[in-house]
Amino acid sequence: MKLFFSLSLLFAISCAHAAETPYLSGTTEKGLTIEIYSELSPLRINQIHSWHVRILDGGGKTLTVEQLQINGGMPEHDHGLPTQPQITATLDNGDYLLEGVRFHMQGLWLLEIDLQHDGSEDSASIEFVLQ
Amino acid sequence: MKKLLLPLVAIIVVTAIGWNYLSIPRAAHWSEDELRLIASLSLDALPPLSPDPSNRVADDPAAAELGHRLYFDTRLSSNGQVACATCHKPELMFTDGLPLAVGVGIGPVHTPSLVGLAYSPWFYWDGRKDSQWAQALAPLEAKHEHATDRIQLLQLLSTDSDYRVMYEDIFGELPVVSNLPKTGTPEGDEEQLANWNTLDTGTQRAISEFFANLGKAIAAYERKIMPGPGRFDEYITQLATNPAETEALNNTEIAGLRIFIDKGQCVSCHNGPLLSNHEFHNTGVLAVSGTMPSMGRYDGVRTSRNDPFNCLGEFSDATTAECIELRFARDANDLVGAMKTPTLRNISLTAPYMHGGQMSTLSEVVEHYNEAPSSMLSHNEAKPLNLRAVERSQLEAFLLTLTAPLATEQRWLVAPDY
Repeated sequence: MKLFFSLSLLFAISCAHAAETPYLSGTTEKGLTIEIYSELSPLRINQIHSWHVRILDGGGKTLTVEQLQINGGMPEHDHGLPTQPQITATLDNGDYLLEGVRFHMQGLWLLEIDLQHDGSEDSASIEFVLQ
Repeated sequence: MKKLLLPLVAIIVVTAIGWNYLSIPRAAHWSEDELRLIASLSLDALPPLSPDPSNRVADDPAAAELGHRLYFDTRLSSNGQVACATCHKPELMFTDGLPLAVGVGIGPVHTPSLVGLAYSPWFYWDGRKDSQWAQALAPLEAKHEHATDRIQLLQLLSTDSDYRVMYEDIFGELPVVSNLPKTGTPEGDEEQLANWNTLDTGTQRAISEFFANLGKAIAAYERKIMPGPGRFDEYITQLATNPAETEALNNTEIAGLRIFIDKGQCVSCHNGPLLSNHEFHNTGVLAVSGTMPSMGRYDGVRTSRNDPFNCLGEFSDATTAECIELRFARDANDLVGAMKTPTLRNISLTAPYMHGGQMSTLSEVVEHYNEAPSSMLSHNEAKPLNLRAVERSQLEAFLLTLTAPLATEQRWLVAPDY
């Protein structure tokens, strides 16, 4: 069984400067930082959009990873995301473009992030409440 | 001891009845979070309708006029008696009042309302179509609905001079019909398919493009069918402008609203100004009597991917990048048995309810969600609510406040002069 190490969560709803302040962030099992920037700000339900995902090492340097997958759902309702978001590009600043993000209900969401870096698997989970 | 028993039983009975049927008076005070949530349900919060990139004529007035004529025209059927308006009746908020749709035959599901549907990314109870124009095509060729086909429709539009002019002004010349069989479609019976297969691929494509254009015109009309503000919307306005005087809803209805957004958790799926998230949920509704339970969205999403009229198909006007809903559609196991969340706007006029019209009254619907029975397939996402009888009545009273005249010009709600 895969262990998910959820060390921290942060959510900053209504962030006015999506480019600078991550909408969500978390730490992987192996200590990498994951920052998520939303192209839709403030985040709201029922609107499909894209995220930029940044992976940082302990020193704050942006990392390139071999694989990155993001899934999620609502634990209280036993269902997943309404869409299947996918990484479709690497942006000039090293961020990954995650297309096809949509939330269809307000409440507690759990994101599960799986990645492969330097040949080893790593993961994180991030909880957040969508108002 | 015996002397005490009777009064004790009486007290228990009276208490139980009181608990179930007496309202607990509560001040109509809303928290900031509740006010924000309630405001998000107002029609004032409905954004302008986005363009449909897969339909270049979605907002073309001439296409809407053509679509209006097509929508009400019973000649678009094998028996000359079935139009789109036969099942989607304007006077019933574009439903038909029947458990199962009745066209040329009896359909497998209940007719959903078209009101505000242009905001949805998916169509049909199982979401097997990804645009309003692609949806509009399927009933035309379905045996239990219009039971016609694309070649018969081409012949109708070619021989009706009004239709020919209207169509050609929008889409260009109609395909030539002189050497065509009288019927034919790749979706039809043996004879229709055999006829279709006599045609070369260029002719087939031209006819299917014509057929797609009919759907695009009908969708241009259907995009005009929008809900109007009712007492609930008025209440939200009053809350924002003069919270001391919110007479648009009475105390019972306000109590029902509180259940809607809190204990009842109705707002989880019936959210936003259209009171629908346009997504798919398994809520333990029984299959239509005598049928196997439907796989719902699990099958619907797969069907949509293989639909020649989908956003990525050759008849779509969208770029690949614009087909974002289809490209990122999810197909996981938790979608087994999941059906689309309908709008609650005008719900008092759209009985019966659920995908098979299994419930004839709102009371039955509220009772269903109160119990949250096990699903026949997969699992019921909803949990029992434990609403008291008085709370169920309050919730129903609130639902009745969601009915209002459409925000659509009257001329679109009746058949045009042919």
